[in-house]
Amino acid sequence: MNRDPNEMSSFDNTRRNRRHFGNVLLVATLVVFILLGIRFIYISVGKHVQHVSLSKQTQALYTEQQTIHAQRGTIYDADKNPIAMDTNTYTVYAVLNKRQVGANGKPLYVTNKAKAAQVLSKALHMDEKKIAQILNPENKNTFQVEFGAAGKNLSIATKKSIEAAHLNGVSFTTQSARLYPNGIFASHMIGYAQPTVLSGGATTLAGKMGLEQQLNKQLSGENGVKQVKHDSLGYTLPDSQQNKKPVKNGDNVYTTLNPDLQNLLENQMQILNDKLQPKNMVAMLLDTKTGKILAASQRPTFNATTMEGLDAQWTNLLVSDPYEPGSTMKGISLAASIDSGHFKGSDTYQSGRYRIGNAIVPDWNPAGWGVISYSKGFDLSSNVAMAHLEQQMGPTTWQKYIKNFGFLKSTNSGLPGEAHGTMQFAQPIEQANTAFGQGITVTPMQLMQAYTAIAGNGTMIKPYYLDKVVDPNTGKTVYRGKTETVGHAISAETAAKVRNHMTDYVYKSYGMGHDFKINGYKVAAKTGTAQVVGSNGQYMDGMDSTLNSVIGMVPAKNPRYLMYVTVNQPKQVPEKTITQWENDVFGPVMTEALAMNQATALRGKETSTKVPKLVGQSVDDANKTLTDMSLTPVVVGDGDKITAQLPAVGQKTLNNQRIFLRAGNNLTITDMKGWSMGDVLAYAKLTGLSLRTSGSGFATEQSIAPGKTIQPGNDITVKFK
Amino acid sequence: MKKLKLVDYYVLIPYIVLSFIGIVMVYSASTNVAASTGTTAAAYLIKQSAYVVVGLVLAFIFFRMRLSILRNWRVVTFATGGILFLVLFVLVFGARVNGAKGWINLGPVNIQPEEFLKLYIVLFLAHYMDSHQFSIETHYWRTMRGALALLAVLVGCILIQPDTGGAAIDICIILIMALASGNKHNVPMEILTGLFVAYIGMLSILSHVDLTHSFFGKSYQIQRFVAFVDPFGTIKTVGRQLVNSYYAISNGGLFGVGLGNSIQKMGYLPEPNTDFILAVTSEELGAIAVLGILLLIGTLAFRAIRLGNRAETAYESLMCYGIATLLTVQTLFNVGGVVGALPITGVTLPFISYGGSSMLVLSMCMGLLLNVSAREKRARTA
Repeated sequence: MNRDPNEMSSFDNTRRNRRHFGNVLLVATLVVFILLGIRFIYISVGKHVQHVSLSKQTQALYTEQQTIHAQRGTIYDADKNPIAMDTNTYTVYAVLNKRQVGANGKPLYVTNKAKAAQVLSKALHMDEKKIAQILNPENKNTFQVEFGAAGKNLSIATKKSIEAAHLNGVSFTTQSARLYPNGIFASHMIGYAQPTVLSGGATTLAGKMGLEQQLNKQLSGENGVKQVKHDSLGYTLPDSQQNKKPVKNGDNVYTTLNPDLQNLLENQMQILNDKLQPKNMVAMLLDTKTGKILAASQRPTFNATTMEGLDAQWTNLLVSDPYEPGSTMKGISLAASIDSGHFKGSDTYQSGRYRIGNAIVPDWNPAGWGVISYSKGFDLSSNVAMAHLEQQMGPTTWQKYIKNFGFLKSTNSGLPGEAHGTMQFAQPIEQANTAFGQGITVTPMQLMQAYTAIAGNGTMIKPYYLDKVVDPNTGKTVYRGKTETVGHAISAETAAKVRNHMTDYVYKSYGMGHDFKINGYKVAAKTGTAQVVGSNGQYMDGMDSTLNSVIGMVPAKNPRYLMYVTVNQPKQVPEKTITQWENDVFGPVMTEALAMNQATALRGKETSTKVPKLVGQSVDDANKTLTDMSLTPVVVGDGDKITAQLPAVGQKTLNNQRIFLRAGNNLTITDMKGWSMGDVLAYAKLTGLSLRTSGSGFATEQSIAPGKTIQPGNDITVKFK
Repeated sequence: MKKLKLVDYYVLIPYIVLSFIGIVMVYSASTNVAASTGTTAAAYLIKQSAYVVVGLVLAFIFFRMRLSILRNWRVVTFATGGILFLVLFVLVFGARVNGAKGWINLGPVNIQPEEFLKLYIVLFLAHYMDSHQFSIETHYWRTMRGALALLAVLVGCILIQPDTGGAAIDICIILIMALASGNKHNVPMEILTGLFVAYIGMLSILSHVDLTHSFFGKSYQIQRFVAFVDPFGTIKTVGRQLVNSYYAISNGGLFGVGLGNSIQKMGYLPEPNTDFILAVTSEELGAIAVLGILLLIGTLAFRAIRLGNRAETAYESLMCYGIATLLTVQTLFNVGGVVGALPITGVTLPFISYGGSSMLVLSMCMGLLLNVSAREKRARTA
């Protein structure tokens, strides 16, 4: 092909232009690739785009902080039975939305409403029609429904009974809760814990009263944090679990409360409470050798699982509500007088009335008993005698003793809200009043602590209820309760003398405490009847306006147990005197404690055995097992298999102790003659009998004759001597 | 076999290496996709390997063939008719994937006409402009309008699929090649400068306009712009892809978390084995590896332009420019989307992303480059 020069140059021109274009394209391409590369480096190294930190965002995206909830510690009694423990409760709900279908097409909504209503009605004790109504709401778009209070706080057993029916669309949510298996058991002292919503929306159990509040931090433990990486669907990525903070379960708390004595005390107090309907009652049993509180309770009380009765009484009366103790203070006054060398028991004085300034100190019997000795005055609980003793010592000395006995200051029991008490001590009449327990307020804990000096050798021991606190994560004991001396109020000699006077108070023919005798033991006691200040600030009139109390120790020579009972403003019930009523609590509990002590002392610790599991065994096998272990089986019911037992599995028991077994439901009553009160109580618990007792010691008579058929809920009265 | 000695290793080696990286990354990036679609990552591995093998065969054929065959009027007519049929067919019967009809389902294999259209545009324009180079010089617009009209129809079909990204690449190729006629001196520089200014202008306008709540806010295409401008503000919706791409790149850092260890591919990042395979690569192998991939693709584009510059004929020259543009623009659109420099347009990354049509077309392109290179070498040595 021939090309003219013109064409030729045009062709070259075009080629040159195209090459120029190619060079521009080269540069543009270079720029594109370099810019993309820079942008890549910028993001991958800088990890920030538009001021957003990519690394932080991804961290948040992939990782989920899962809280591992710490288990709240268990509170145990002295036999290691739980008093308070963690549990779950369940709330049932039903999904109605028909679009809720599982991965395999299985419906996740209620398909058979009639059956669901039937099953739920049975399990929740709720009307079937009402449930059917809830399952068929007017609003057809309702996603899911719940069943009100009846569908909440369900036990695992109820949940399982519903699950057994395999209902589609019926599910449960879980709530952590606190279970108090005994129901009423030193309730104000143990307190309670309730689910509390935290700031983050999670709930935790928080102690609100008593030990639960006092040791809330130790009981709570520390929640752990688990970090988990997951993909976009929430599946955990392999090897990505990481414990950022291990969970630390709460410490277990072992109290000094003896379950047998505590249960007996609760039972006896309930009977008395029902009968006399006092404003309130307090009782406490102390081991004077160690200071351990073995049993303590008050009325009104509450069931910590159901919270039933909590409204009636929030105050822990053991430490939080000081009151004028009345004549139980006289033991202290007598101790001060003896210890300071002023007491001459055989000296006499004019009883009845005694004028101090413009005021009169009256005896409870204003006519008096003529001129009597101070010793007799104490036994007759004479206020005038105490006023004289106080004046002989002088207010300075007396005040020193009040202080040394630990009044007017906290015992540092550790229980929340402990009060100090107050005193009016300016005028001679006020000073004299304090000597017989008026014009000074104390707490039961203070009074018990003061009396440990009299029960012992003059050394005051602090009452305690925390045996030990154990960290379950390490098994280490982080706290161990021990006998703590808090002062030497009086000499050992003085203590013995006071105990002699208190023994006279029970055993002298004219002594006021004759209702508190216990067979086989000498009892040292002092009662008190304090007038209660009414709302108008004046002492009220009448028997139902007094705080009645008794403090006693057994055996009088060398007391092992110290017990205090108060009954505040009881109704007058003419069957018995107030001291006889009081002994319905004091006598049985003290007797049981002494019996247990004797059993332990006689047989020694090495012969104690643990109760085996008998539930489910045949009656014959159970009988043989127990006989082989030198235990005494008591079987109620005509069934073939054991359905219940007391004491529970693992509890310690002594040789020849009775083990109560229930077989079936056709129950005939056993002859209880010679049984201790603890045995009778266990028997009543196992058979569901409502027990009433009178007297103390061992069973002599029972209101239902042996061999008669009984039903749970039947009343039975057992007399003890 | 003489021709084999004339193989251009600046083309062959990047091509082979990139294809191999592609196979590895498709395998790695497909694990979660496979799990959710009921296949296995190995199935993706096998398919992609097969595409590479078939691609190598095609590359060899295009390397060995006489280029004049491609300019035979029968071939050109057949190709034009074929591509028109495919593009229209896909518009009517195409399988809808991610809201766009881009695929023709042929049992185990899906054909994506857009990929073939790109090659068609390159070859058709090169052929047309070479054939009409003298009249172009004198009557540029009158000469070009017929060809441009045909291409406009084809690209229009792509645009209404809608495949905005594919159409944009097509338009870029057409634009660059149309400008490469060589009849004016400074036009390309002006055009490129203009494009750059337009890009900066777009960025500054978009960052000051509240697109989300504007009248256009509902359009899907506009939403992509919203996501591009404010990905973190729209993290739950349209911004999700870009943000997760950022996360992947950030996770990987310079050296990566290790092959197979990407977290982002586990459902966070959409299309981990196609559109966002580079983000997964960056996470697993690090930004360094990504730079390596960009370097290899860049080498191919460079080599293509250099071959275009040296080419004797306008046809070869324009074809090389076209292929260079195809590689560069497609890479720019894909990587630009991944790093938030451009709106996400659903464009795959050459050689690396999973996909048969793309791999076959690119292999043919590589064959053509090797063919041109061999011719030039022979011409020089002759």
